[in-house]
Amino acid sequence: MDDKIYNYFKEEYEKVSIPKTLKRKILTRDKRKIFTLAAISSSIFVVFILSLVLEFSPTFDSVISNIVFP
Amino acid sequence: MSLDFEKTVEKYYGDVYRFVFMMLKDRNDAADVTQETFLMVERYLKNFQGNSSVRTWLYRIASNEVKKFYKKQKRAQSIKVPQKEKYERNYTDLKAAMEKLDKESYEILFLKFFKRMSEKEMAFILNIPEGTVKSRVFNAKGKLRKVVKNGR
Repeated sequence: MDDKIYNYFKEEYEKVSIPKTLKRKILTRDKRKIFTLAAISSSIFVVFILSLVLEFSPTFDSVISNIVFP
Repeated sequence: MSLDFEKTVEKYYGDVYRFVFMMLKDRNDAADVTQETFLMVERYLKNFQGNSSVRTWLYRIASNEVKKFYKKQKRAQSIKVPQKEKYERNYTDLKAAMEKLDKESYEILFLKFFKRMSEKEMAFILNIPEGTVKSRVFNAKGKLRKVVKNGR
């Protein structure tokens, strides 16, 4: 009985093929998560800095007039 | 003991995927659950103390993720092979019986008779006492015998 159970699992196990992209998906999912987190953090930082600039500027117009577009 | 995530993935992802596939019998589900498993691995990598082998630790996480998946999907109690995954029609009695087993019995027989794991390792993976492992193996074999005897 024990050998039969082993043989059943062996046969089934050997049929399993590993998806080729699985390893890449596991590893890049992690990197994607980091990039997303970095993007969110930097956006929050930019908004924070911008709000500080606006807060301490004499007028909003002066800030706008100082922005130089390339 | 510190583990490197990429090296761990490199070395064990195939083994983890196969284990998960054996439990779920579906390629897409197995791939998703394997990814979830490695997300947890990454999260708890620092907590790994080396009290068990890396493979046993990974199997424990994978086994938990499989259980979470079952809860999420509210799948049927018994393991059924989807039509698309059926490889052959002429199953022997044992094959048919194995497919009729409940998932708990199937998992414990897989660990015991195929992976040749010790009761201690199985207890760690399944998060149950060693005594419960013994009784589950005994019961699973009993169920299997009963199904084989009664036929399909």
